[in-house]
Amino acid sequence: MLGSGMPDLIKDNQLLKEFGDSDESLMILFRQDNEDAFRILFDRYCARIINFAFRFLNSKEDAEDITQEVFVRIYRKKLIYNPKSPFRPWLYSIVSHLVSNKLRDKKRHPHHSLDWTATDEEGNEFSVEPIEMGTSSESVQSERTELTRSVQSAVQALPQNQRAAVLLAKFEGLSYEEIAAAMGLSLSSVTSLLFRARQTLKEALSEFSQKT
Amino acid sequence: MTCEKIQEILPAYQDGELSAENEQAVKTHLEGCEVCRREANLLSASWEMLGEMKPIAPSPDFEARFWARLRQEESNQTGWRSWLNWEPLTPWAVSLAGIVVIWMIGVTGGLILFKNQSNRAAASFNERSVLTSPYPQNSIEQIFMESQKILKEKNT
Repeated sequence: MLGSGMPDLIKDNQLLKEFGDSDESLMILFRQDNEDAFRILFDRYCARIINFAFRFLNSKEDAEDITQEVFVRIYRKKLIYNPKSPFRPWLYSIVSHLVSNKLRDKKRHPHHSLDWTATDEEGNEFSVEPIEMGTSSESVQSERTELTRSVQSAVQALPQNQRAAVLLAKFEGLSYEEIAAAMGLSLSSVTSLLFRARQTLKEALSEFSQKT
Repeated sequence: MTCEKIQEILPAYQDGELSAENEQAVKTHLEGCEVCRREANLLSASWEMLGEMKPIAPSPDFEARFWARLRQEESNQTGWRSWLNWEPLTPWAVSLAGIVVIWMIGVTGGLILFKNQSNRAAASFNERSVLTSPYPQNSIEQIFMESQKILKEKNT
């Protein structure tokens, strides 16, 4: 296993000397059957993808399952990747596609855990949908937990494409252009999605924004 | 720029996605407009709050499960399964295969069309001959008379 350090095999590679350990050069190495390069990409992105998928699926099990599927696909389809194009939009287009399929499945089979759950700081799941902000006054909760729940609810309430754009921009640090490539949309559509999403979030969280 | 236009591009401004010219225009506008400044603050505050969504950690056995699944799927890819699961290797191979298939469909379609037209022409020739000729069908006389008729038609 690779863990933290870069294996000598990769360090010595001329390509990495020239371009560093960018995702794209790792994919080029992986296309040449260098499995260490794949392991580095796996280490780099698996937790990110689990979290991205989790914010849609609200199930850690499903999120991990999707993440496994993503990397199995990358492993199998390494030659389909175009080394001239950026890696992250390609990666997130696979993730988004699989997440959409999973959400469609869940809608068809609602008995499969459609509960809206979120996590506290320790990663423990709790339900957010049934709790209205005004009705939680009986239980003593810290303001922070309330804020966390409100943020989770606000993000969950966004339409699927707006949520994807928000998560890609905020948590994955993708540029508008990269988001457009990942979601198969035009740049203007992404700008519009993010404008509407941010307006919605601003309204939903205005109570807390006033305090800051 | 109007306040409405400025507020429309505020998210892109905050995400660093504007051109240098527009960025400067927004910056200048915000310095002099209390309403838009307030809007910008609310937007950025709610955006920052998304950081409250704490990440979850993968299950301790996640990595081991993944590699086990990958190895399992890889071993399933051998023999006849690999043929069933065959996927085109590269986009150019897919394109080439597509072109060959389209070419074959075109050639086959063309041949069928040509054959149909020939049959139709032959049938029409035979029909006309049978109806108008006093000679038995396919006799030398009948064929001679028909060819004379066709030549005459062409000359006129």
